[in-house]
Amino acid sequence: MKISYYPGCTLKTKAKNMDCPGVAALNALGVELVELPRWNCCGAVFSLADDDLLHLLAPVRDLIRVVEQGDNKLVVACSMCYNTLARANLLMRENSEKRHTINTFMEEERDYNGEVEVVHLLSFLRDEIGWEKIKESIKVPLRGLKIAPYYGCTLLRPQSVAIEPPEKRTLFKDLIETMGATVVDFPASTDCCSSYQILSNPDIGIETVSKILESAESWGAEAIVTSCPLCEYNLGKRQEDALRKHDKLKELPTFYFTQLLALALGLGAEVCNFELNHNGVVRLMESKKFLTAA
Amino acid sequence: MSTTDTTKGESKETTSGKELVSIFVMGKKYEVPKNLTIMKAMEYAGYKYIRGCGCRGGICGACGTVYRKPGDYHIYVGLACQTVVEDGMYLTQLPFFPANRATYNLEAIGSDPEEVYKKYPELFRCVACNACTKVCPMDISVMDYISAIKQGDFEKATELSFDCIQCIFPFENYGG
Repeated sequence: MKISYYPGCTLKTKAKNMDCPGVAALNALGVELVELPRWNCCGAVFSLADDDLLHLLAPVRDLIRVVEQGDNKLVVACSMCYNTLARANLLMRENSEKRHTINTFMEEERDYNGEVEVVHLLSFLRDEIGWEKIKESIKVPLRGLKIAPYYGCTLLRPQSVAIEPPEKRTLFKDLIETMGATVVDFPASTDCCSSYQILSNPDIGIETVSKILESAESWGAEAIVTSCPLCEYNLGKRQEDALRKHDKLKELPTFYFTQLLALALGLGAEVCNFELNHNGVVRLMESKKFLTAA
Repeated sequence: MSTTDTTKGESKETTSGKELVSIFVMGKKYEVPKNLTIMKAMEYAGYKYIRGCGCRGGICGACGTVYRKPGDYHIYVGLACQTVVEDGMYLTQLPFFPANRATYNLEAIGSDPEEVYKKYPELFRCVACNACTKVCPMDISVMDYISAIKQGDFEKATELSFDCIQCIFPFENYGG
């Protein structure tokens, strides 16, 4: 099976450790993620200003590229890209006035009416491949690893593009169990990681990160899994700042779900780009003997 | 560019056997043979290029021209040496493209988008409006190569931007 794939700028640069294992894992499952031959930044953040149509041009152009490929479905792995693309898509479907304005402005492009379906990779795994098939393909079950699924904001908010209802969320849980690991559902799973506040108000950001880490640790997690490069930056790279500030906190390795999936499928550390992670991911994987088992 | 207007009043001269069209240079109307480039038409009208002429071969970007057409709301950008005049065209010659032109050693900065960001901070404010592509007189896919840089794909960026010489070459080397 082939499916159009939008990686996003961060996955092609700082978060290759999310992109590469994802592409490899899907390939192992018989799915070729075909990167759009031409794409631009998704816009990163969906603008909430009602008259700010300029910031919708980027995601809409990407959706037009999907149509140009003769496709009507787009798989996105990055939570933020998913959110921006899905919301722009919804607006183009439902708001005829803004759709007309945007299509008129982008006269060099074909008109777009929201005909593409934007799908997050987690949903794709469940709906198009299925947990059973993935389970049958697992070569290195992640037995004994207690993983806290961290959704953050952009997978679940707003409701109109949520990949599942926040109060009945099961996608991460099902994936973790399919890989043979143990789910540690924790109260801060859907809290905001502080997003870009980590840069403009680092003190507030670090406090927010500390609370999330503390929550996951108190429920017995050994690792956190996410699908958002910004969440990973805050909880992973900036974890050192949280550890310095709070003696009680312990190191909590942070993974992308694509890395764990690739590892569980037996693809080995070489496709996971663990060198781009932070705080002891390799140490944890080695201690669990998941690297040698491959 | 700077020009010397050697005409006296509006030109009504006709050339035998040649169809004329009207163009407006800085708001002044001239009758010029159709099928001439903007540059040739202006010279036909009596202007002498003492700067902003460049290579005349559609490469250097010295003769950037902003123009409009009657009944058309678009603002077009083209090279005077390549763009053919149209009836009713309003022309403005660009003396200079006010673009950021960073100087750096390509081998020293490597292929890291962060390094390009330091040289061109405006690059990361891109909202994919595509105005850069539309304003490029060489029809280079500027938006696409900016996207390629942001994606860390410098090979693609190099291929897409290969024809770009930043519309500066003639000014520095030919003095116009």
